[in-house]
Amino acid sequence: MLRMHTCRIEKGRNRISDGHSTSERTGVYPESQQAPRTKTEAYFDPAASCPPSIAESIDSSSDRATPVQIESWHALMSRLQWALSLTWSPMACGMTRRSVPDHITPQPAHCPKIGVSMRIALFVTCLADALFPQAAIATVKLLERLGHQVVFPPRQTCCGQMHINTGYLAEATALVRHHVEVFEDADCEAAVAPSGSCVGSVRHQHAMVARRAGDEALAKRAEAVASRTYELSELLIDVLNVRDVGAYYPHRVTYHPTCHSLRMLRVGDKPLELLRHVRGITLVELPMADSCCGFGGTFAIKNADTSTAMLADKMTNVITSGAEVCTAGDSSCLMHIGGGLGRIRSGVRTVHLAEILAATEGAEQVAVEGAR
Amino acid sequence: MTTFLGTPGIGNLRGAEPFPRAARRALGDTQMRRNVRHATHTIRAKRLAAVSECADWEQLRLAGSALKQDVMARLPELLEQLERNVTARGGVVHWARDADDANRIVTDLIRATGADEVVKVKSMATQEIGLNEHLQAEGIAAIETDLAELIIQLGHDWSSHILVPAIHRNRAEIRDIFMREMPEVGELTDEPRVLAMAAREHLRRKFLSARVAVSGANFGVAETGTLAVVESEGNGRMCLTLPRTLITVMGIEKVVPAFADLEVFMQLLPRSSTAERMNPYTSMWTGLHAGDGPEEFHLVLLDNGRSKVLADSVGRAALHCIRCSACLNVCPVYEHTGGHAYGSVYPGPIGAILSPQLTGTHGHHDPNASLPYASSLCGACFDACPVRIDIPSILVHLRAKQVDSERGGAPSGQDLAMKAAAWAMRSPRRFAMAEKALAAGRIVANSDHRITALPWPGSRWTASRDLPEPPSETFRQWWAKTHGGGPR
Repeated sequence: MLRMHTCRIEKGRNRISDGHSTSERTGVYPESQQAPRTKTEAYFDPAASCPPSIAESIDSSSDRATPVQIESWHALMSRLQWALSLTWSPMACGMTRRSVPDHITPQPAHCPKIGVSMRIALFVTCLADALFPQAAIATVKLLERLGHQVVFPPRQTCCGQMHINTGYLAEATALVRHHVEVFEDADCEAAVAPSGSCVGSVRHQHAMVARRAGDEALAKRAEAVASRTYELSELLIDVLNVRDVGAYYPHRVTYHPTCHSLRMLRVGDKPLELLRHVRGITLVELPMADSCCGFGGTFAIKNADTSTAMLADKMTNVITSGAEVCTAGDSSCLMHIGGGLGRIRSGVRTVHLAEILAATEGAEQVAVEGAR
Repeated sequence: MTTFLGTPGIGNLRGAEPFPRAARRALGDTQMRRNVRHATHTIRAKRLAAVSECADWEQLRLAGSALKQDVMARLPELLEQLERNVTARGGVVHWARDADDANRIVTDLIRATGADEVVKVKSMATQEIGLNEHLQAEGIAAIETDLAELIIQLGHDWSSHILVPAIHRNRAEIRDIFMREMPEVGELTDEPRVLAMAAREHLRRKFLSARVAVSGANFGVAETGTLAVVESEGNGRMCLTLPRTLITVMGIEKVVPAFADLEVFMQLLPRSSTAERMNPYTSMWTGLHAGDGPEEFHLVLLDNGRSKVLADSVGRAALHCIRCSACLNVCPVYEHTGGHAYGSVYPGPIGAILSPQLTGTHGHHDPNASLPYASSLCGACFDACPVRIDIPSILVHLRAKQVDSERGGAPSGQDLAMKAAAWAMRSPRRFAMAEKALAAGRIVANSDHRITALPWPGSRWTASRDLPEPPSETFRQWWAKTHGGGPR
């Protein structure tokens, strides 16, 4: 009954089922991998769509609708514009952010051979900077230990995700512009954030925000920045091609796949793949792992009761797993889960994935000196 | 139980109170939560199994989405074609601008037959317009023949799910409702078979005596004028074939261009809704046939806000919905609050984007203005949607429309907080200062280095969760110390 939620242990390896059948995950297939063309492909013809003005042809003031003939030059132009918008704005035409040409797939240029040092900019995220520096410090230490050079563009502030997801897109535009300026100037081959949702916002929302503000140039620049911005587990596995980061963490750990890393970025079981290679760790399955913890940014405040009910389920599952540590790739979700687990004195603590990967024998808690 | 106000003109699309308040009350209903949780978890697992059998599921989803985009792109043309073909085959087509219009048309049609009782096939469109309540006020009894709808009707209750309206009831509750409302069936147990047989006996009499049936439609084929109803119980087949007059109310977005397009939807819909490879009864009818089926057929095409939704190039994807309920079943918010909290006949993620668009929202006090925020944006709904409606993106789009529509007025607390945060975050210097100010939060932390109580609105967080004490050193302070400002 809980098939969709449970991690399956296969041949002793903790393989997460992200809650969707294999076929269901194929939504992130790059277009080139789509199946053979069928007759239904004919419907993809962008010319089959029409400008929004056609919508007005259903006259709500009359008893019945009459169609508008697209006959004038003006109408033809707007039809053309609409058709073009299909390629410009996936969201505007009802296609989805997941069907956007896949930025996740690493560019060959970003795939140096193992042992080649990369110059990586840390996109720290405002939350990690201000409240969870241990996650960011661990990211720096981990990448430096792996032989890469980390740079920190000091002018960075916030990606604007909270503003975007709460509906304040005008305010977010300035933050998007700032983020784009900072990271396109950063002298780096790639940028990394210890957060799935912030990378998700950069990759799937920034260009949309810019276009909504009528700034196509900014949208293009945002797409360029997004194309080299990675979530930590993506960077390690897709770009740096490393699975064993040399970590040692002798604890009983369960992994919560955060919603945006799972369904926006499609990191799949990359974080688990990294955790499996950590020495000393005991990974335990989290029941109903892919269920949302109820954080949802301002959702946790605006719908506090529902959010808490969702959190209660997540906490029950974390506790049931028997873990002493719950880890994830997002400080925000961990703040929520940890805030609940702490309140009830559950005896389970939350630790960011980066901190586990940064831990080594003799330096299990590499990152906490600045933390508290 | 939520009381539906039934806004004049638009029907049952808006509740009496905003989602957070309605949800709070719903969360206290432990029996409802248990029932909904059990049902949604069961159907989730079944749906995944049904879907994973299809090797080309993703292609089917893409095809379904593309078909719907095509329909929206030339809706007026397709509707006229449908009208021509229904008319050519002996049907009569009526155009209803809103719920009032549709109710009036259906009532007049029933009146003309002289009947004072009609049997009904489960239909979201007639629920949306509040047809049953309207007919009752006009002295016409409308009898729901779908088992779950019958439970709702007999229990004087409201539907809380698109496909399984009585999902919030368990079988013990259903037994009580039947015993109370159908005294003729005698003593019952709570075994599903016993309950189904009781309903069957109750309904059989109605089927045989009814002269008028009212249905909805899952699809209307423009090319042929064919209407289709997809169901599980066979009650629909009875209603569509036995009575003399058939009246079908169909939302205008349900039209599909060609008969062959049903191939795609007939694979997507049953697997997504009931997790079946194929539903037990698919009824299709094309006009009238002498000596076979109804002698009179009316098709009422319902707009009720749909053309307004169509005008929004992002929001219009909500009209692609084929009412399968897969998004409800996977939604963690719906799972906890149930459907009544949404206040509309369309609950869950699809309701959160459909209801406010159909009704329009009037200021942030409008209950439907709260619906786009009734989601943690977890994205499970998009993955489950058989026609790939990107519900999370549309939720964000509607939030932005809501915020923009309020600009220029007196700013709310949220407006001020968001503007202040954006102001601070636009400048690295101001951001660093804000971070330093945050460190003052260490004062309110307890000896466990946790903050357990904050004044409003922080109390909305700390009522159920702790906050960590702000660190003594932010990341950028650590970086300056260890990397000396470092390479930029």
